[in-house]
Amino acid sequence: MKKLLCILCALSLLLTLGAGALADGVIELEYLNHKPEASAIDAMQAIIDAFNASHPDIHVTQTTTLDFNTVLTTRAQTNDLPDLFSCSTSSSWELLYKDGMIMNLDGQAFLENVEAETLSLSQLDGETWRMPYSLSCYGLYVRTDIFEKLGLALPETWEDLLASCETLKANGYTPFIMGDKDMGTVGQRMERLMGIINPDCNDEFAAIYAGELDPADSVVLSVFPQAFIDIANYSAEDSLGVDNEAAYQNFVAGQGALMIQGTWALATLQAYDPELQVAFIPLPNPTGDVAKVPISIDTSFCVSVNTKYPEACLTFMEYMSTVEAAQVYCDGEGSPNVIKGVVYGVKEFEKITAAMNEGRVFVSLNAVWPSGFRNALRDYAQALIMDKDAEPFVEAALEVIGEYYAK
Amino acid sequence: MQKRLHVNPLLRERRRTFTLLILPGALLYSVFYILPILMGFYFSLMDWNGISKSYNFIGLDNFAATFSDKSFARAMGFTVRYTVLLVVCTVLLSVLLAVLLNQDIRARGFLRTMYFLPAVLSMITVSLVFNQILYRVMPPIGKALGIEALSVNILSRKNTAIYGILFVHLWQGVALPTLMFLAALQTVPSDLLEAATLDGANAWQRFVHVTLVYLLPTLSVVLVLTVKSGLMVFDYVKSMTDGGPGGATQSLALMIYNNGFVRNRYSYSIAQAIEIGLIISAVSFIQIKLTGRKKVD
Repeated sequence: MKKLLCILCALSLLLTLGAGALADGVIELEYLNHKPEASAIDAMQAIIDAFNASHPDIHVTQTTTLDFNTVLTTRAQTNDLPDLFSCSTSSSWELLYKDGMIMNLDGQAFLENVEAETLSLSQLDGETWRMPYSLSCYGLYVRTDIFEKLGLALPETWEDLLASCETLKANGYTPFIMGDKDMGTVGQRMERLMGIINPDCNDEFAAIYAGELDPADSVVLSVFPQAFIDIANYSAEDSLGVDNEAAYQNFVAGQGALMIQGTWALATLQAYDPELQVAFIPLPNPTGDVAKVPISIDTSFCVSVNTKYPEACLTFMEYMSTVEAAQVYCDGEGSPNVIKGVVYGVKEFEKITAAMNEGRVFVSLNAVWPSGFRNALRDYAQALIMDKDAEPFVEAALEVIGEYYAK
Repeated sequence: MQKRLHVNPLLRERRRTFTLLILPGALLYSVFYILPILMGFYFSLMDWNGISKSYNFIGLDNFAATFSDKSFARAMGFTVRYTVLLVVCTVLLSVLLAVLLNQDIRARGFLRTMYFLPAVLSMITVSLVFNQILYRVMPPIGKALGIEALSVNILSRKNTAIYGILFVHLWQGVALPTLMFLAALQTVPSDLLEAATLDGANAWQRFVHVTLVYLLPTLSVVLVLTVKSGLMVFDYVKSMTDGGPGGATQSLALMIYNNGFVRNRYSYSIAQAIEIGLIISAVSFIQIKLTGRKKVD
């Protein structure tokens, strides 16, 4: 009896395995999403669901993480990159391509669906290692209802901005709502503001390292610390204890009227209050020069060279490049899309779009700074907010420049 | 001519069996502990950024660089201070709670369960909950009571952030030591306590001269665990302040993580990890030697 039972069990196990093998005709692909925001994850999931439904032989699964950089770095170290992944602009990911871990996409037909200018912006030495999908701009969110109530005009210069802050403060508002507890946010603000002060900041730092420029003559190092302190002076007393999410909530609750953030923030702000009256404008230049808008490729898609199914990955990329898929992403995630034919009309972004159309843009410094440089400097930027002392920041910046530009 | 030692065949058989039994464990330990340590040492001699496939041999430069690294000294200072505070507070609080929970009081079982409850919660969840409490709940209370230090989120100030993290660590961390001390209190012979009472000893004298002696072996274990927990603190710091504000709460473990995964200085972070590992080993060795001397026979 026991023997019979054993044979029956073994047979049923074999049959189950056989059935699994038959069902295994479907190709499984893993897609790792770099964005932690729910709006981006949901938009991507909607596209993936539609893709899976229309491609019964391929099944894409989305993996999300709150710490994309660590996850991707660790997986690259162990030669275990996901089949597909998205990323923003960073010199760290260019290293992956240089080391032959990311597929070269040159010559793929679907790239013709991407706006040519952005495509060239995303290349490395003329080679295409990713399909750019959406752009992000960085600027100033203004609560227009509060500004109208106080009779304030949208600030165009740094002096206007500080004058608006004074009026807001006098009327019981916290001018700037900042999530200064979030190191990533502080580092990003530091990097973007340095770029607004001098879009060629990278050259400036390289010249300082090479001994060709006296640090005392550096525009960035002389203007940035005070501008950062100005913002801190008009932020909440305990902004260093406020994380990003709490900052969004406080801004929506009307505790303050200004917030320095990127295009991606609008979806979260509107999720808290769909009727929020807000305008997104270029952040004025503290030097008094024309304010340029920092832009970067916020989302781009890559294929791992180690994928077992390169054809299936490219099929997915082709699907992503369609107007239908891109429109879903654009509507859900909220950033300007670079797929030809996608309709993008966010009234809150009218001012910044106008500036971009005038050509007042530059590529964010994170794309050109040495890998890890921004993160090495961000602790000191947070200390600058806390201590409001420019000297230690400049000293630390020179040390970090010395270390990273040497590489 | 050397005499061949006669070994009992039964003993030989037992030795062989034991060797075979420990072999899987030894192999697993080698693969998951020894091998990574050796690989770590290899990478610490390189200039690898953690991403590139190429790297160069730079000898002991990473180890030497640590000694002139200001952030290393700052993280060491924070970690030592934090560990001292954690050890002192944990021992005092857990002994106090254990003694109180050992009294013949009403709802003793319920209270014991309640005090142990934080230990079964996830560190990150607890930290996130306290993040909200410290930001949303405490400042209004501080303002109402006129306590300036509590009127703002204590995590936002470089001088008070350490206490915010410490409070949460203690809230969760004293549960296990309390339970261990509570178990140790059950080993105190009641006749000794009665004899001391008859000799005229008051409660404090009975505690110091009788009870405390029986708590020493447990104290030794609690000290080792708490010192280790303090020196390797990561989760609470990462989820509550991320080392801020301005690096004021950057612990050694967080510094290693940041150098490896955030600042792309992977080899350097491994060199730091090795140096810190050696320091912690030395501290633990001394601690075990010192506390091991004072045991009740």
